[in-house]
Amino acid sequence: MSLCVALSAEGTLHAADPTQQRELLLFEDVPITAAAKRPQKQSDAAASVTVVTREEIRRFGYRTLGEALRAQRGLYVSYDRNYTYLGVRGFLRPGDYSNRVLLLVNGHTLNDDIFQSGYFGYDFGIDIETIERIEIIRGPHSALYGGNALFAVINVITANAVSRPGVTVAVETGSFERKRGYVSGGHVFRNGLEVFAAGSVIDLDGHDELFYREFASPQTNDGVAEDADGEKAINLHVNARYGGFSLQGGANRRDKTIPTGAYDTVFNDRDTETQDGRYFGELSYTHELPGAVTLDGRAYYDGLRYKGRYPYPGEEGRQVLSDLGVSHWLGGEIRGSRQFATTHRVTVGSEYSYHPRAHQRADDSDGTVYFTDSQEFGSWGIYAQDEWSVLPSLTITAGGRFDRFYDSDDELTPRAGAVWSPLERTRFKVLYGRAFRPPNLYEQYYADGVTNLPNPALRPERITAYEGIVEHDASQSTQLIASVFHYRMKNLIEQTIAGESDDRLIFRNTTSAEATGAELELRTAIVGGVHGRAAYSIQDVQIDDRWATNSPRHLGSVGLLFPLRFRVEGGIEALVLSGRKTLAGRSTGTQVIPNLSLVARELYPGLKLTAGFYNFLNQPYSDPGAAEHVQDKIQQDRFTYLVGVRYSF
Amino acid sequence: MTVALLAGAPRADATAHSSVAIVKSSSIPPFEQAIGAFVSVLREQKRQPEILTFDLEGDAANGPSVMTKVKDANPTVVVAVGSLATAAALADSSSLPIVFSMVLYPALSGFTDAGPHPVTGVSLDIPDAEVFRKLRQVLPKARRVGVLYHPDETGRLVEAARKAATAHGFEIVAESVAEATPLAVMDRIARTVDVLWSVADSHVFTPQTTSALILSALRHGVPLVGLSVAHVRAGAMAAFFCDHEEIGRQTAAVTLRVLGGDEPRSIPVGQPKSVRLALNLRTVRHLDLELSPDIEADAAEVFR
Repeated sequence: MSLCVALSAEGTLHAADPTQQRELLLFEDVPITAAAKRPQKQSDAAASVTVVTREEIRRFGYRTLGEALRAQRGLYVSYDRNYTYLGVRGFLRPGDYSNRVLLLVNGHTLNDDIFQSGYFGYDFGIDIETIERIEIIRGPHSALYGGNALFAVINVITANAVSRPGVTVAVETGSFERKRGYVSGGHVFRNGLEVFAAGSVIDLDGHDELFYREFASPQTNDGVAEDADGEKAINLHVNARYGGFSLQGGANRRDKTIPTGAYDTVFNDRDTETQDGRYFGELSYTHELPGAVTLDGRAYYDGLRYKGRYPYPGEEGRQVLSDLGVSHWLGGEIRGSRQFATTHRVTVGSEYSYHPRAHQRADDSDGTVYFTDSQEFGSWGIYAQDEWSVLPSLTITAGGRFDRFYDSDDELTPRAGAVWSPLERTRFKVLYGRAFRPPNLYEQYYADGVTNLPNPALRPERITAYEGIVEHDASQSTQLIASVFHYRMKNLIEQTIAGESDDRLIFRNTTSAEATGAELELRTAIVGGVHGRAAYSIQDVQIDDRWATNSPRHLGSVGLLFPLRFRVEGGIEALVLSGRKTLAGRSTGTQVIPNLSLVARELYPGLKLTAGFYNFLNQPYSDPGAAEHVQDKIQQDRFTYLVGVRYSF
Repeated sequence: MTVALLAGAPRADATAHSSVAIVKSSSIPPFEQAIGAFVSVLREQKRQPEILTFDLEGDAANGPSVMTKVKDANPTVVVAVGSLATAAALADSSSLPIVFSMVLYPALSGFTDAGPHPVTGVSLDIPDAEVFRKLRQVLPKARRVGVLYHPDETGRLVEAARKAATAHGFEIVAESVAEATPLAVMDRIARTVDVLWSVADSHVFTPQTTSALILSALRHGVPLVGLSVAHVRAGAMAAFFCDHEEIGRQTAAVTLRVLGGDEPRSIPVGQPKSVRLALNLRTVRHLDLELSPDIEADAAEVFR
């Protein structure tokens, strides 16, 4: 799927007489996609949508997908020195795998089938340079997408031969011996074939020393993890198009050394690491038929390869436990969309995936196998949605999806929304939706006997959410958004300690979560080429009637893009998180993270220089640790920087 | 429906009272920009007319009731902003003078035909001669100009453009979308022309087809002159556009002439005095085009 964003003034064409409003064609936006799985204007989507453009990504100097997302209304991240996790509207449980957010690349699901993880750091697999824009569709969307779309759907749109023709090379260096190289190439051939490919490598040495007072003893190097924070990643993405056929694929591998001694591993042991790799290929076809009918079909093949190495102080000396998660799956989707009588747009579709062998294994360096499990299953879903233009100013969207996952478990998820535009520049949206997340295979079956116990009786999580939104275009370049939301979750799956006398970890369905919140956002163009955005959200997330851990009550961000002299452009932002409760009941304290990015364009045709200064006030801050950590809080990076050169020809 | 009364400063000569009824199709930003500039010019006058504003709120069904209120206000002249408002004003049985503004193809819509209303106005139509003159500057070597259109909607417009095109060394290759989808027609025509020119035809440009047409032109390697800056932002090579505030000021000048006693029918329908160029340099590079440095320097909007 491809999506284009509405950036300028709205217009409304009445179907009755095309001569009566022909000038509106001059004022029309050029449309967007994922909220209804078809192109539509952002303002018309029955959803709370934010689009992060390529311009913003570049000028704010975002290094990863997670950095681009945490600056958006209602989103934040946690990093445990291994993975970056995404929180939405105050919900991010310690030990989560970011599996309550559905992550797509050009419409293709990236969440894997063992952990259902979304990837938001250098493990994402698509270099930030390749991203053309990011669509954030908040709220439950299982009614169109199936499982995992509880809090949001994030659709990353990549560059292609049309949007990024020619060759681009980029190199970067910076803090922690940062080394990054990127190359992409796009070409449209005379016969209409479009081909685009991009690849990158990144190598970070990380902190030379990381101090953790929880390990401050002579036996554990006085709490200092030395050279144990390194990270390497290699990414490859290709896409091609010919007529109605599109092909895309990617492969990546990311290796990260873990300095925190998580899962009771030997502290300060550089063999503690994870390797994550995803690969996929998808072929799709779109056909327009007479009568405003659109048919889409796609077939895909995906794979996951995860490996973890965890050194433990065994009775007979150090032993290294190896975790393995390997799977491959294939599937397909067909979808049809048709306009009926100018007032109804109906979309129906069906999706199936087959997972022949989702395999997990844990063994040690002696060859002892602690755990091995393979699951074979199929999942399918069927969905339908109707967008009904009741009045020129009122559109009602209703739909639902039936899913059968793991061959035996069923879920029915409805969704409804109304978009009312009583005034040309103001829209009211009322949204209702339910979504589910099936327990993943890791939560159900992983049991290495050392740190984890299985729980195959886990039930799916379910969420019901309500939201009211007001969007107002104060001017052609100023938009105000206000929303209130409420959600309830049942059967929340959490990683807990097995018992008072058993400190192993087990996933359980806890009782419930409930949250209420409100969001405000302003996006505007100020004078002289300056663009600004500001967002604030307040939320109260209660789990078992207590304030949830790792949930900020207040989130805020302010960003400015501004031109300077000598073809230099700047981007400055500040992210604010109020204190989050840790597992031990302490607070991380309020965090203010300011970042500055500078871009010098066209000093020579096609040449661009970049510099980024992150947390430039050198503020110390921490994210809550999870149950697998001894640390209650994981300290984050203070000031870091990067400089880079990018050349396109 | 909304009615807003905007009173000017105390008038020096109450016996020279005149009033202007602005009837706007809706409150979308382009209309508001034009109206804002229009009102500013009127407020600079020594004898400021009374200004009343009426809004159809984007619904043609509001036309009769709004016009009833307009007639009750007994304005000296009606300024209709947008086609919806112009059609509503013309449909009214009174003979109020009408100055339309921010209208595209008023002749095609029948707004300039003789009727009970003395009517003139300022359109958004960029003169064909100006379009092809600027196109010749941007693409000196181009000859065949493709255009997608529907005969019932813009057939006359396309035919009328042939003369201006020929005068600037272009040949128009027009393909109808009456029997095939716009994308199918684009596939057929794109490889046979040197440049694609857009006319505002709602059978061609819809929310479902616009971005696909722009992308299709890129894929076929043919430059597309879009309808607007939004099209250029989305990938069209270029677009010619006008400043809405300037249209508002031109409309004010015409209105002042009518208030001064000129017969509207004696005032030719105005067209934008300044035509601007929007360029997408990524598209230009993709199409391997060489533009004169003057073109890029003169462009009012440039997307990189």
